[in-house]
Formats: sequence, structure tokens, C-alpha cells
Amino acid sequence: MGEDEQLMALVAGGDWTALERLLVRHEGPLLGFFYRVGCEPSSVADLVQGVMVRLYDERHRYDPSRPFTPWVYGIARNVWRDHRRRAARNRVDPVGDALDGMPSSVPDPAERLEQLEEADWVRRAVQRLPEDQRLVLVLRHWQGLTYEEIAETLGVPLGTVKWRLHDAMRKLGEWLAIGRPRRPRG
Amino acid sequence: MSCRDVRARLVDLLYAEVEDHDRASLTAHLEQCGECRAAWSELRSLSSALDRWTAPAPQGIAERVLALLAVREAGAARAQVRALALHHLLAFLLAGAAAAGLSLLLVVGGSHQEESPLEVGVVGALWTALYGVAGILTRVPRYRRLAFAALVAAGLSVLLAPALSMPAVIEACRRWLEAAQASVLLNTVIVLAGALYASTPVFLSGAVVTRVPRGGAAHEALPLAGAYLLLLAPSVYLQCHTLTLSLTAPWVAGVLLGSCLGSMGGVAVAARLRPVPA
Repeated sequence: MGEDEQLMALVAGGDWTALERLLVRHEGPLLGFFYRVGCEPSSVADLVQGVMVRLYDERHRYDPSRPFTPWVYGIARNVWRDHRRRAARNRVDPVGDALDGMPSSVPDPAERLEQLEEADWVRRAVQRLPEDQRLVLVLRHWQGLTYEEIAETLGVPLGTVKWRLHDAMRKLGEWLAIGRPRRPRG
Repeated sequence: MSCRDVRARLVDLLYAEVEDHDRASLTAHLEQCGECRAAWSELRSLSSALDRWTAPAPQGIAERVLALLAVREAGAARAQVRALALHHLLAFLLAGAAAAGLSLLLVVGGSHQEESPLEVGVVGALWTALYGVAGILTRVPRYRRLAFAALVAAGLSVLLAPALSMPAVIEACRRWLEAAQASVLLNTVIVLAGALYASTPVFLSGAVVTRVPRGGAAHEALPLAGAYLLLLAPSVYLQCHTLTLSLTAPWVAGVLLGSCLGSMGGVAVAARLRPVPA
């Protein structure tokens, strides 16, 4: 049993210290998850808080023999979906500001080179990906989940996870090769 | 392995999602094929570019959530207590009264002192209330382990009382030392006996019941010492109230010292042997 699974088992038993450890361990990764899947920055902290509260509320449903990571990111995905539904009802595009300025066609590299830093360009390129591919990429590249864990988190077959990741990397490779700003030499 | 097969596996290779024998075949192909090596190099540089997109640093959200949940739990605990049926409250009171009665029997019976019925009644009622509250706190997640640990420690100390009560210790010391009450040696022995009496139960309870992270023992130990001292107070009072202050003071000092050191030691052992993962 890994450390997260041990901590979660203690949390289910009412251990407050274990809860504190677990939340502190996952605050950074959850922030990174919501930030990269395309939530507007002003909502990221609220969404992380939502996951943490739901993690505590559903502590008795967690099976310690199952891996913790897919379970918590399953919660994170549901929290994000709920947030998007609410945002849609309020006619606010949750990824609107993230996509602001993102070209619908291949941009002029010369203009992009002048306008954008590389990290910003990467951010815009990732957020241009379809949602299902973006989720897989974020979970694999930044959150460090294995293919199997991603399949369990999203409830899709392993082959689907691989295909989405491969296609996402192919698209990013094409977009970034064209639009990535070059670093000044010397 | 053809170039087409290799290109189809490069992303898996990047994320270490290939078997060992596949990795060997892929690596061997990349060493020989310049085009595939260039594709691999592009993929790695894409991965490096993704790495440069950093996320915001943690912002103390975990602390805010813990505070929020603590407030919510406290409210839920109050609601739970309010919602307790009368027979639940009676059960807590009866359990507290039974524990208090047993404690009185052990402490008063072991001290060989004459106690007035009124005094025994008042101390018994106070003990019932303290045990009852501790029992209720075992149902509140945040205080569950602390309340259990304090109850276990107090129970052990009450069991120790007949063998190591203060009057018995003083009598034994007097006989052994044949010294006056003000003797420094006698006071020292009383302090040590008080410390031993208080520290042993809380050390054992802290080591067995508590769960703390490695290195995080101190701030968990002091609440345990405080709760334990509260539950122990009636026992100390019964043992000391008929004696002079000059004899009582070193015993109480020993109990205070022993409670703090015992709880710190016990929690430190728990943190070392069964640490909560960091």
C-alpha cells in the first residue's frame, strides 16, 4: 500500500493529522491540474478546495486496496465538470480567457515569435487541444499518472488513453514547431 | 522493428510505458536510424517545452480547507450532541459514572485515608462529567485519538494508584530514609515517584494510540498531556488534600513533569515506530 493509500485509510478512520498531510501533499498537484486543463485562474483555488472537501466527505467510500491517485483525479474531473456546467448556465466560458487570442488557424510565426514567450505559447497550444486529449496529456505529463491510472480515472480503455495522448503530442509537435518563439542566441 | 513501428512507440518510450525488451529494441533502432533519432529528439524537445509551463505555487488552500472542515465538524458535532437521544446521553453518563465509581474505589481504597462522603460525592460527580465529555469527544473525528489516548492513560494511572499512591510513597520513603519531611532527598524521591506515576500511563498510551508524522511530535503531545492531567486531577486531589503543602507540592510537580515528559516520549515513539506518512 502506498503512502497516499495509507493516509486515506487513516483519514477514513477519523485521523485529522493524516488528512492534513494528504491535503498538503496534493495541493500543488491539484492546482497544476486545474490550471493546465484550462480553468480560468480565478477559479482554480475554489476548485482545489472543492476537491479537498469532497475527498473528505467521500472518505468512507474510498477502498484502500485501490490506488488513491485515480480516485482523487476522478473527483477532480467531476468537480471540473460541475464547474463547467454551472459556468455554462451562467453563460460564462470557463476556458474563454485561456483561449483568448488563440488563433483558429496556423498563426504567422513571425508575429508569434515577437508576441509570446515560449511557456505562454505552450499553454495556449495545450488549451487548443480537444478536452479529452488535454485531460490525458495533463494527467500523464504533469500529474505523472500511468496509462492504467488514467484509464481508471477517466473510465476509458487503455487503447483510448494511448491514442488520445499520441494524437495530442502529434498536434502539439506540429503547432509548436511552427509557432514556438525561438530563444535569442548567445 | 520498422521505422513506422518505432515512430508509433516513441510517445510510450518518452513516458516509460514500454516493456524492457521493447525499450531495448527501440533504443537499438534509434542508434541506427537517423530519421527516427531526429523524430525522437523533436519529441524530447517538445516534452522539455511542456515542462517549462509551470503551475502556480501552493497557496495555503490545504490550511483553509482544514479550518473550514474543522468549523464544519465542530458544528456537526454540536448538532450530533443535540440530536443524541436521551438514552444515548444517559449511556454516556452511566459509562462515565461507572468509570468514576471504579476510579474512586481504586484511588480512595488504595490510599487508606478517611474521606468524607460529601467530598467523595463531589469528586465522583466531577470525574463522571470529565469521563462523559471525553467519551463524547471520541465521537468527534478531530479529537477522537486525543480523547482515546487521554482516557486510556487516565485509566492506567488509576489502576496504578493503589500501588503508587502518594501517601503510600511518602510512608515508604519515611520508613526508608528515616528523615524529616523537609529533607531534600525525601522531596526529590516524591518528585520522582510523582513523575513515574504520571508518566508511565501516558507514555504507553501515547505510544500505542496516537498517530503523528515523523518529527511532528511536540504539538501533538502537549494537548494529550493537558487532557490527561484534567482526567487525572481528581485522583491527584484525593491523594493530596489531607497532606501538608510541603508534601503535596513535590508530588504535584512530579505529576506535571511526568505528564509532559511521558506524553512527549510516547508520541515521539509513535512518530518513530508508526509515523503518519509525510
